[in-house]
Amino acid sequence: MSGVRHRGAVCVVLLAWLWCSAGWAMAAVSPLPASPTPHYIRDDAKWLSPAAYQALDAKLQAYERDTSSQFVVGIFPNIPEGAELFDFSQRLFEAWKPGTAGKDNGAIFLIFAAERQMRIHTGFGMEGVLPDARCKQIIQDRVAPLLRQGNRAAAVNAGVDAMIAAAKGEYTGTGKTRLDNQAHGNPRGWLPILIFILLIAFNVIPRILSRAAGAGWGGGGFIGGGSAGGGWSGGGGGFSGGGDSGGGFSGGGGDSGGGGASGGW
Amino acid sequence: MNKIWIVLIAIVGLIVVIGMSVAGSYNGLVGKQQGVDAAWAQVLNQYQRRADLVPNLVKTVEGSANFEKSTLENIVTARASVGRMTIDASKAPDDAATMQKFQQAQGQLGSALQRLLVVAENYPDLKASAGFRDLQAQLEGTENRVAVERGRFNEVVKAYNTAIRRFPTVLFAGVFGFQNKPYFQADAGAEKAPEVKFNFGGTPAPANGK
Repeated sequence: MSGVRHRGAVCVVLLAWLWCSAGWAMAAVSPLPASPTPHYIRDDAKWLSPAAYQALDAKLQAYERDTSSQFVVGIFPNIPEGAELFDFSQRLFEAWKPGTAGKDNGAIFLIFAAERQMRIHTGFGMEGVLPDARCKQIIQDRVAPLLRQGNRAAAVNAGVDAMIAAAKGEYTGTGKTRLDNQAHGNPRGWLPILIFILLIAFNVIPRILSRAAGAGWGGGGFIGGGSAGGGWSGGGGGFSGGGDSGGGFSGGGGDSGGGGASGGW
Repeated sequence: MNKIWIVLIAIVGLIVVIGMSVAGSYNGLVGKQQGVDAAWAQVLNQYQRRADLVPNLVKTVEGSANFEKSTLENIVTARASVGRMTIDASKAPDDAATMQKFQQAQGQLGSALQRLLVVAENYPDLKASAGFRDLQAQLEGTENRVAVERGRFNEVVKAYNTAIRRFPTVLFAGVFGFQNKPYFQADAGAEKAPEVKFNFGGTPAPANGK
């Protein structure tokens, strides 16, 4: 009797799990492309040579150090099926969060190869220096002519250069990117290691002491060993937490109200 | 005597507990309502921004020879009716009718402007002018911003509407005057392209775009 009930419960759990995973699978049909963190370019369409990619990436990183503004480039083979250019761009901005929270001094420059469409999408804090009309000018006058010539790397660089030139002097940087700051000044990263070392120390020292004393201190060492194990798993949790903290683009947190302009070539 | 005291204390305690939880969710609702009103103000901002573009746009387009007059007239009329609308900018509308009227007026201006952009495709000189291109970019950008703010407004309204229907909040939300707020509906016909007809020349005096 109880066996039957038990089996029923297992079935229910299994069904629930299937239901949940089916729901998860459906929700994950068209996920947004992940942000290129720690880089500044996502080149799905493979437009840039490794050298061109690195040069532009370094330029954008240096730009963040100088100004604290984050410009991110996305080159995609096509607009995802069923998506609309502006809507996709806005959602991408909201997911990647370029720029600093509060300043919202980020922008993304998107190119869709198949549709021959591009868009500069600005955060709130960039609307002053990169108003819609300016973005349109950059797209039509700087980028589009080069793309019509087939000079892709030059076109992408021209767009980024024009954005950087337009935003000149608006923000000042700290000489570091957000990732620089996270890598150097994050005490939480050290905490689990510190706890681990301390626990080891607490575990080992009594043993050494007990050896030295030659008396029945083994119990103390045993208890210490148990808590050292707990400390180890806690440390693991801390590490994975640290890895997740760059959820948005470099943890920027910028927001956009839909500014910018789109255009073709 | 003792029993009465215990009962009294229990009742008072119960009232205090209930009162505190009511106060807590009341404050929560006030916060959500403020959020709705703030989002509403943002929406109005963007609509205002669009309306502010109209005089410039009309002036630029008028300069283009033989521009279709009826298109311009439609814009000026729609702009005027948007301007006449008296709507409280500090408080999101409570009733669906006000919301609908607001949306209708704004929708008219929106489709008149959209039509202008479509018609402009047939005027190469106009399209090539830097002034018109800038205005076009601003107009498109403003439409995008309106769409974003409307989406955000609907999100906070959804959170608010859900909150006032939750138990036990639902028991007193009405008493304190918390009502369902209407959403922005998708514009009727927003998905179909505006119809274009041409009547070069022969129409009466141009609308005065001020």
